[in-house]
Amino acid sequence: MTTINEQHVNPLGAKTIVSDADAAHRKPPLLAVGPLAWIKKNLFNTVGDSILTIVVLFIVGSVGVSFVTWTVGQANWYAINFNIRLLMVGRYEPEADWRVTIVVLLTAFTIGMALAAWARMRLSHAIVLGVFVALTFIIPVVIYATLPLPPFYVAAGTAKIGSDSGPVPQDAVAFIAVAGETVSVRLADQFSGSDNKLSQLNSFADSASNGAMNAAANRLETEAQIAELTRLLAADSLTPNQRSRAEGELSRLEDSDPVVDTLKINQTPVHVTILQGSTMQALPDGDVVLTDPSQGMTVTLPEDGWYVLKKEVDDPEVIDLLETKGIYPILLRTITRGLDDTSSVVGSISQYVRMTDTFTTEATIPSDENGRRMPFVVVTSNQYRGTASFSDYLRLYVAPFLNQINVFLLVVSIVGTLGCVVGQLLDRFFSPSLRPRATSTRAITWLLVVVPILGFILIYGLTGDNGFLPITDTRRWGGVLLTMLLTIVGIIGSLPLGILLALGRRSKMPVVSTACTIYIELLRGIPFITVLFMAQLLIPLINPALASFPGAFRAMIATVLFTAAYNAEVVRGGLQAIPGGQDEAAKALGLNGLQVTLFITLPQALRLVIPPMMGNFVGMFKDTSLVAIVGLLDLTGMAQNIVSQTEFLGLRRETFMFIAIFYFIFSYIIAAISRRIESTGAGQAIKMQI
Amino acid sequence: MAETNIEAAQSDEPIIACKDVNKWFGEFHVLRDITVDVAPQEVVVVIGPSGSGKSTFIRCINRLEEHQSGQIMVDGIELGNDMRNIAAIRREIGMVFQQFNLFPHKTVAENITLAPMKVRGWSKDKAEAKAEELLVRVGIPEQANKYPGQLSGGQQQRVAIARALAMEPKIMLFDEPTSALDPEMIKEVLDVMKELALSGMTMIVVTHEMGFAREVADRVIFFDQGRIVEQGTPEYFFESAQHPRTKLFLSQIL
Repeated sequence: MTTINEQHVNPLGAKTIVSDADAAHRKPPLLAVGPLAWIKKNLFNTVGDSILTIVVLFIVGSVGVSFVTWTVGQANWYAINFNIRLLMVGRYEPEADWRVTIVVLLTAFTIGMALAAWARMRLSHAIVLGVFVALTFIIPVVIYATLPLPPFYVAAGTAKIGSDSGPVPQDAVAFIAVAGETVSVRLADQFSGSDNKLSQLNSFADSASNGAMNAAANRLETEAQIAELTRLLAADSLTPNQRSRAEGELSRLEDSDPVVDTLKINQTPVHVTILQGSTMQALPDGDVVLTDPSQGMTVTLPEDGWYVLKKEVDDPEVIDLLETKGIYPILLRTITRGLDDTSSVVGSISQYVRMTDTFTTEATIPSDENGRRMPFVVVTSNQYRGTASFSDYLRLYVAPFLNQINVFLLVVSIVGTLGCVVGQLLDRFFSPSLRPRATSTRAITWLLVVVPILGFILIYGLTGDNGFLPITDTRRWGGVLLTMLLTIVGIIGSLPLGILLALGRRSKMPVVSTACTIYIELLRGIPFITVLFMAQLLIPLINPALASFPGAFRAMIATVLFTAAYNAEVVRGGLQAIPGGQDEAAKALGLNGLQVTLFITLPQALRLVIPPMMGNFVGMFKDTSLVAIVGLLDLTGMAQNIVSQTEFLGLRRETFMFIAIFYFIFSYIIAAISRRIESTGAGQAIKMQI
Repeated sequence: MAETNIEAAQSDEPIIACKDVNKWFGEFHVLRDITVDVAPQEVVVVIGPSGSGKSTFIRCINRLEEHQSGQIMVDGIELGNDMRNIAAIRREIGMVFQQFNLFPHKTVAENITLAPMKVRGWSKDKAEAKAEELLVRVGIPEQANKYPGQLSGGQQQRVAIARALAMEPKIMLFDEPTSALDPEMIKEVLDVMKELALSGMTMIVVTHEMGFAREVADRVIFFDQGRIVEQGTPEYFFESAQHPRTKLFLSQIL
């Protein structure tokens, strides 16, 4: 408490008040600062606020719930897991993959060092990154160790399902597996007993089980309609007209017996055999007659390659539904390359690829006694009923996906961290104490010049077919590789061009300034897609010799020319923001016009425009997706290409959702880095100075 | 009489010779028939009300502003449209601004060494030695590696003076060098300027610091409405100025 000492009362009656040296510190009242107070103040301050809060939360919540439900329960992400390579590098020559790897690592190193020089990275950042990368390794291990295998349902029997033209179960199905994996089979009794249960069949299923499920679902729907119409007719509240219509409707619907009864689901023992594909011999423990649901068969597979699941039912009227675990759908892929590692003879090779984790075998598919190839499990979207559970989602998609990217993430993170550490060590040993980041800044400047050039040479190639670094086919560039090439070439080309245009537009020489102004306004007045079309279509018209100029390069030129116009305006804005006194002071010192620009105004302007410039570059990164329209297979183009293949028909949503997430993560990282540079590094310094 | 003093100072060949200089900003006639000669080592203080053209006048001397008629000769070189002449003149004239105009992206040392290295072609070592010497002279040797934003206004203005001096100019122009400073910092800048005047530098100073004018100036020039209304030694000017406009101005500020 503050005590007040009355020192004296002056003749005018005014008091001079001197308070104690230290008033006791008290905490503010809880209701004024606690979380409840925060909620009251920020979310429910007025009636209007409360309504707004509730409405917004409701919208966000319902959108979020349906998105998560779709992602986890219905979406079919194997198109992503299966096509990671296409999405990343397109059809880039696999023998030149190492070059891409080197470029990625160089880039990671450069970014690491740039962060050291400009963004004041701390140990905590490295720890967060380390935990994140470690999780990408730990999560799949935990998932594989603790979660059950996702089911795959197959039907056995010889009866036709649904109608006379309906599917008949196949008596055998071939699948591929890795040595040491287990496959288990049991009667799927959770779907027998009633049509209600049968209609719940989910996850992967062969077409016969699907047929059974659909038949059950259709029957339930018909029964429901019949019940509804009967109820309406009984209620006696219909007009004669409505009544006759309802009666007509009812007469069209047939009452039928439950599907589980007509198909006699799971009413007979089934003889199940698992054969090794190479020998067509049953595996030990792989030959069992399953009579009741409690009985199961589990087999450990001895080698990589093909296996066959045979199932026989004696009763021709019975369909048995089997739940198998450890069998996944397969895609057949035909590739062209040397027939073996040493041969230069090019041939067509069939590869069978497990969709969920891209385990690949080139072994010949087993045939039956008549020499016909065994059917194998293909899953198209109409055979996929969504994952049965969150556990299946994790096992089928999350774990394999993380396993595909975690090594890459680890290496990139290590090299990036290394770059950061090297930058900091350089500073510790070589930078003068007054300018603690001088050495890393100089090093990064050089890296930023050298790495892009070196990277482009590595990816494109240097010499003809047989020399060191053969030139790659630009038509095979695709996916993220092409997107990144377009972006980086776009940045490197458009920045200097933009600066020149900005200086030109500000020039006192009318010819230069008019020309630059016309260029800038022209390019800013044309949609990017139009510039791309012009680059693709008009260049050969201008000079037929340019017809063979690769489309990827044309897109790069278009990107540079287009973005430069926007960069020019940003740089011009920066130059205008530099006080006139800077120019005068420099001139008064005797510097000539070029020196004033080079040493005084431009460096300050460029630092000022880092944020909008980064915005331009993020915009450009996203705009590169437009090259898909002129036929290039960048990330977007590749996604389009993938969903138009028969195996992935109907997977548009998943594929485009994935690339959307990819674009977002990258844009966000660029934005976050630039924010950090602004707030801690070079940007902060300039803010303090101006 | 004061006239004799001025004639004594002008007995040398003038280092700055302005004859009938006129300048317009659009229709506004900002300098009218300005004729002034400045002798080597002379310290001229220019005073006058805002908008009287005094700043424009000294900015014409190093061609930050272009005059439209009349003749300006600096160190025997005529100031015209010839870029080489302008460059040669700017090399010999240092200028200090009201707003300091230091380069915020460069350290104090870099601010000072930039022009000698780029314009005079000095080596880095020579320029840095010069910078060090000048920072000692203006009293802030310890600030060499700081950025201007980290210094007080008075320190910044002293750096600006050092930066101008680094080019080893024959003439220094001061455009209200203390007007943007807090009162307690004015003195440190004026002290540097006094020291400079005593060392024999030719200076033209636009200022409202009458104490400085009285103490340091060889001559005071009073500008009003683009004209030189009256000029003379400080003693003459502050005690027996003749023109009613001068008297009015002095009565308002003293």
